[in-house]
Amino acid sequence: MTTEDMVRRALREEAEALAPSAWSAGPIHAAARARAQRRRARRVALAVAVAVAAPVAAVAVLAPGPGAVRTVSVDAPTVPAPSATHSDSSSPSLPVSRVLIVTDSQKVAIGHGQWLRLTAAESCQGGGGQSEQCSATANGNQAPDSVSLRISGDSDGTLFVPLYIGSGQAARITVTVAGRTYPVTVLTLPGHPGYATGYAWVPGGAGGQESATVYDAGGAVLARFAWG
Amino acid sequence: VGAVRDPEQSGLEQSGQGQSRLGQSGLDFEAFAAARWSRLVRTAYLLTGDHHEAEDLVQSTLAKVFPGWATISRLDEPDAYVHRALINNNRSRYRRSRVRQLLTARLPEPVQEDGGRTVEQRSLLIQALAGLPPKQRAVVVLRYWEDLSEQQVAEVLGCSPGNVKSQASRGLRKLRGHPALASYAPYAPERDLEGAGPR
Repeated sequence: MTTEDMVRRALREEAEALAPSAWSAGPIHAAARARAQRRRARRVALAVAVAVAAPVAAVAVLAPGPGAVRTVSVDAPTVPAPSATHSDSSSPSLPVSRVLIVTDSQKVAIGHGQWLRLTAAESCQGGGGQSEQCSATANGNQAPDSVSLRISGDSDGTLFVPLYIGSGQAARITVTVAGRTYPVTVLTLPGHPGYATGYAWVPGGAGGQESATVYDAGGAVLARFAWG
Repeated sequence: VGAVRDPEQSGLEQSGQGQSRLGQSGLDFEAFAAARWSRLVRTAYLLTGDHHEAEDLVQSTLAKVFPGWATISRLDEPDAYVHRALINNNRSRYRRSRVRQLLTARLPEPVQEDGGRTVEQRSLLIQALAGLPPKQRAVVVLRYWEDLSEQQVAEVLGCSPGNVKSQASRGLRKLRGHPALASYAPYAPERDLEGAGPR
């Protein structure tokens, strides 16, 4: 038997010993939809970046020098600093969330001197001159498959901290404020902790119609909460 | 297979709502995928060495192919296109995994006692394949598992048939002395290596 024949036979036996799962079109369609959404989100982000960059470039070309910077800072459209992209709530594309897997009790800086700390039993928020506030994640205080929200703020903006509890794996969370949808940076513990939280700083104050929505990796809504 | 193109660069994914499942050839995507699923997963398994990763790889590859299926199904050999997509997708996965080890904040999930096989438990052959560079491994898998010709492998990998021939020869040489092939070895000393290259 040649080496070639030996390799052929070994590959065949190894491969045929494998029992693939049954074919299902569902995950393919879900993955294709998620991929299309990501592509649309990238296009939206690019369009926003171009829309912002164009007037800046125009001003810079027309009035180069130190004065141009001041002009741009006054006249250029306001861009929400912590969440640079946003979309209209009516848009089919969704902003992409950053997902961070954190260790138990690790304090994660979320901006403006504040932090979040996750344990198996609670999600805590502190810093910024305020005492630590915790939400239980495992005592049944919040219904399963639901999302709650803690809202606070300072002179620079409003902080949204959603808390999703449920069996799903949150891959994206958004908050919608005054018709604009912002991505939430998702924080979760390794494995399947049964909950996820996150944060988003939104310029301006809270008020009016607001909502928080949690999606899984396939783009399906796991939980939604609207108020106002 | 001259029509084979890189799915990442083909621009075929812009069919949107027009993403017909039926090409003009009448080749239905779901029928095609269902018929090829097991074979593709096995190929992906030989490329990745992990059952679940193999299924993820095939799913994500088919998801990339699906939006352009109306066009792909009209190619002379849609299989070649899908093979190329699978290989490219695996290459990207390999690169990402190397970067992720250095940069990510993501922690590894705890080892599942009853889950997939650990590295130590993997078969000797998978260990042997893991010792090959990615391109060489792809050549060996396509050539000796998929039974593609040197020309077909070259088109899938985007290289010359001569390169495929040399990669296959080197791959065989590395595998020959591995314990994974010991049980297949004849009792008499083997003298065929020179002639064992792809035909």
